Order: sequence, then structure tokens, then C-alpha cells
Amino acid sequence: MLNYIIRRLVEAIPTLLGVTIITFVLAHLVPGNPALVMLGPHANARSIALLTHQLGLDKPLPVQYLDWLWMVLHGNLGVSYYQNVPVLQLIETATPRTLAIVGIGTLIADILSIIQGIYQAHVKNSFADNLISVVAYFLYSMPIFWLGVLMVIWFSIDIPLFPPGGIQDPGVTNVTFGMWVAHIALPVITIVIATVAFWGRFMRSSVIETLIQDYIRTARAKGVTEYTVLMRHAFRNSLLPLITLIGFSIPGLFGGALLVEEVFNYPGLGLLFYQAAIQRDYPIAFGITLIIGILTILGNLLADVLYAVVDPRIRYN
Amino acid sequence: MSALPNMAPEVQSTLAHGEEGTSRAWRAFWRNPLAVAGVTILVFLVLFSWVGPLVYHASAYTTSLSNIVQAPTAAHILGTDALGRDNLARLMLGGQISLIVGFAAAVVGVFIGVVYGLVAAQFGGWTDTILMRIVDITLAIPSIYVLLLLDAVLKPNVYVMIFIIAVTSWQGIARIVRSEVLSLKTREFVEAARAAGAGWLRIMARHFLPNSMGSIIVYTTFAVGAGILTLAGLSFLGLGLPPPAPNWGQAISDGIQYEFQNAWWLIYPPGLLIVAAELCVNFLGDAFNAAFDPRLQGRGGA
Repeated sequence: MLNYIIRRLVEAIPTLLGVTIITFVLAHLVPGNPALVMLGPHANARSIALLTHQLGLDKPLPVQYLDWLWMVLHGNLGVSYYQNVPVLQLIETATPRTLAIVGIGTLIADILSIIQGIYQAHVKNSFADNLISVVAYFLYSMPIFWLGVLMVIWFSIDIPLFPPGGIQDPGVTNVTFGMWVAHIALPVITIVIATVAFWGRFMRSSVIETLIQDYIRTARAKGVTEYTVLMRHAFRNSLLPLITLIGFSIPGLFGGALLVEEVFNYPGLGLLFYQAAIQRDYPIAFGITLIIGILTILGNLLADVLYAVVDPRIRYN
Repeated sequence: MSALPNMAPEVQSTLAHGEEGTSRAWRAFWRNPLAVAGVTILVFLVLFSWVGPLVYHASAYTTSLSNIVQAPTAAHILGTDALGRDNLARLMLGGQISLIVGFAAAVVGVFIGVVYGLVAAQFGGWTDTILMRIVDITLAIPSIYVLLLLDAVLKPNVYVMIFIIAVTSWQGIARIVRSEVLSLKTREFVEAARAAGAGWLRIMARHFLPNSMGSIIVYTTFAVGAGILTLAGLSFLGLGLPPPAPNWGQAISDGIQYEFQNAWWLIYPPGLLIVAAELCVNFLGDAFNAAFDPRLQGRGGA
């Protein structure tokens, strides 16, 4: 198993290099010199040329890439053009915020979707099953940002339960736990609603698939209670496809997080990237795609490893 | 598909004779209530977007600064927007743009993916390894991040928008087509065709494509929904199509400026229209999936 993990991590290196090259090329296709944008409309040609040179933007693209890569290998992601702060520092602040809403949202959505899937499989083709399916169709047909806007209107404006956005109350410097929970509540609820319906439907068909297996029939014939059949056999075996699905959903979750962060003005990785892309703040944009690339690859690896933990039949050599 | 000998004979014949399997699949499709619901919504959306403007004559572009953000009246059935333009007329015209961009992006993306998957499977070896590694790389970047950068580079109009959505949504079908072709390559009827002297283009056209048609149709259907959502998301981020042309995502984005004024007519109708379009493709996609996947038939739906 350890060998397998090491091999997968080594294999991830070319993928990560590819991710950085693609981002690099894309970002440099964008017309407009960041130095020009930074200095404003009244800058003279000489200071623009000087700043362009200082930022290394006058070098050929491959040289710029290798410079950046060399810096990254030394644990340095560069300095933001606009905020004049190390990119690593910005990312270190933003990453836990995004992981908080994506992580907590995913965890709650997992638990709910497992319950939903097992219940629906248990009452398959009944009125309750069909009703849940119809509701699930509606929920995952909603654009995530519209859902977020509805959450603000319903639970912040109409019924003022939660703050409409941000991470702390205005004018407050020390953030208490309660304030933190209140501010992540609506983003998390939005992520849960947007993902649970899809995963729950997936769990339903996965459990149904399991329940027609021969060993389930054997267990029932031996007089095992329906509860044990569902919890011991169906639940555990249906986890496999869910784990893979979640592993593959990680980039999508970060994509959704960007829209959610924009709705709630929640300063995580997504909002940071969005501002960087608009301002042509290359070091931030490169740093974030690198971090998300790493998280995606680790997520897929974790899914494969969990797969082996849940299913002893699977051996990696 | 390595377990073919264990499959029921009807499954094997579906795989071996694409056309017969397709007509059986169509009959199964039309018997599915999801298909009927999906087609009904599709007819509604097409009527709303294309026939609607013929019946409802208000202009989508005429501004009226004395009538901004006005609640629904007899003259403006769904009220007016921030520039006093007729909201319903803009939603109808916006429907045309949203649906065309979603559909065209799906078709272009699937075309890219199918060709890519066919090439990877056909040439195999290093070509295949490199092509599939490129797929892994592009999937490790969330597509909205690529879209943000592309959007900044290319200053989208409708055609550019179709292109940038397509180039971020072809990887899934490329993988599916590749693995289907790889398994079909080992089948006897393909070997027989090759022995009879058929070139690879002919084998692709006559054997691989008809056999992968089920997956391609299912994938394209879901891709239409994804394309509509992507356009909406980009518009919400202020990176959609240039004004004054409307689309549903742009309408939501404009409407939420007035969320504190309770301008419900600007916030709910465009969202519900997107939900209707997504429901339509999800219903149709699941119905196609059930129809083309013989394992799902006679088991109470997907």
C-alpha cells in the first residue's frame, strides 16, 4: 500500500507540472501588461519599462516559467502585484476558509445522502421514494449561485437568522466561534443543498444495485433482520461508488465554491482567484491553481486508498 | 464489458448491431415517463423563447428611465428591469441565447471529445498515454478557473462563448469513447471487418460510432445542461456576454442588485427558467441513459 501511495505521488508530478504550464500559458495570453495596470494611466514609459523589468515580465515566457518554478521549489510563490504581500500568506489565509465551507458542506452532504439513498432504496418505488426523487431533481437543477441568493433573501433579509455575507460582523475584530458559525452557515447550507440531491440519487441506485446481489438474498434467507441487511451489507458496499464520486467531484466543489464565495462575499480561495484573474495578478492565480491541483490529486488518491480500506478485495500492488 | 460472455443475449445483440439496438432504445425511451416530462418542458421552453416574442410584442431593448424596477403591470407582465426594459421580453430573448449557447457548446465539446477519444484508442501506445495524461491535467483545474482566464483573454461574443465552454467540457466523453472503442476493438465483428479489408475510417464510421451512440447521446444531453449553467455562472461573475443582449444568468445577476428591494420579478423568473431547462436535460438524460443501458431496463427506472 505504501509503495502504491508513493508511486501515485510520483506520477502526480508531471500532472502538476502540466497544470502550472497550462495556467501559465493561459494567463500570459491575456493582453495587457500588469505593470501598466499597476502604475495607472499617468505613468511614463520609463517607469513602466522599469517595473516590467523588475517583475521579470520582459523575459521570454519559458524563462519566466522556469524562474517561477525554481521559486516554487524553494517554497516561495512570489509576491502579489497589487497587495504587495507574499502569495503564500494570502493563500494560507484563504485556504482554511474555503476548506471550511467545502469540507463541512461535503461532510454533511455525505451523511445526508447516505441516509437518503438507503431510505429510498428501502422504500423503492413507493410514494415517498418518488416524492424524494422529484424534490432531488429540483434541487440539483438549481444554479448554485441562484440558490445562494435565495438563501440570502430568505434567511438573512426576510427572516434575519444569519448575516448575508463576509466572515465577521462589521466593526468587530475578535471573531468568536458563534460568529464564525453564523457566517459560514449560509454558504455551507448552499453547498449541502446543491450536492446532497445528486449524491443521494447516486446512493439510491447504488444501494438498489447491492440489494439484488446473491449474498443479500442469502442473508435474508438466514433470517437476518432488514435493519442489519441495510446497515451491515448494503451501506458498506454502496460506499464504494460514493467515495469515487466524491474524489472526482473535488474540482467541481472548488468551482462551485468560487460562485458561492462570490454570492456571500466570503474571502476564500475562489474570491481571491477571481480578483486576481480580473486584475492580472499572475502570482496569485498561479499559486491558487497549483494548490487546487495538489488538493485535487490528493483527493483522488485519498479516494483510492479509502476504497481499499472499505473493500478488502481491492489490493494495490 | 470484459464480462460479455455472461451478459444476456439481447445485450450482446444491442452491442453488436448498433441500429437494431438504437430503435429498441427509442421505444424504451418513449415509454419512460421521464422522457415525456423532459420533452414537455423542452416544448415549453422552445415555445416560450421563440414563439413568445411573436405573441408578446414588448421590446427587449427599449429603455424607459421613468419606469425602472417596476413591479408587474398590464403593460409589463413581468415588470421592468434596472433600465426600465420589459423583463418578460428580455427573458424570452435571453432564453434563445441561453439555450443556443448551451446546445451548441455541448455539440462542439462532444465532437472534440469523440474525435479525441477515437484517436487515443485507435493509435494506442505513447499517443494514448500522452493524450490521456493531458485529460488528467485539464481535469485537475476546475473549469471555472480556466473559463475566467479564457474569458479575460478572448472578450466573448456568442461564438467565442460557445468555444470556451466547449473546450472546458470535452474530457468526460473522450474518456468514455476511448474505453468503449478499446473494448470494441477486440470484438469479433470488428476483427471480421478488418480481415475483410475495411480501413480504420470505415471501421470507425460503421462499427465504433453506432455502438457508442448511446453514450454520446446521454453525454450530450447532460452537457447541454452544464453549458447553460456555465454561461449563467460566468454571467453572474460579470464575465458573460456583452450588453445589452440578455441571457438568463445575466438576468439573475442584474436582479440580485435589487434583492433588498424585494424585486422578486427580477430574481425568481430567470432562476426558475434555468431550473426548467436543467430539469429538462436531467429528465431526458436519465431517460436516454435508461433506454440505452439495457441493464437498467425493467428495474423500475434508473
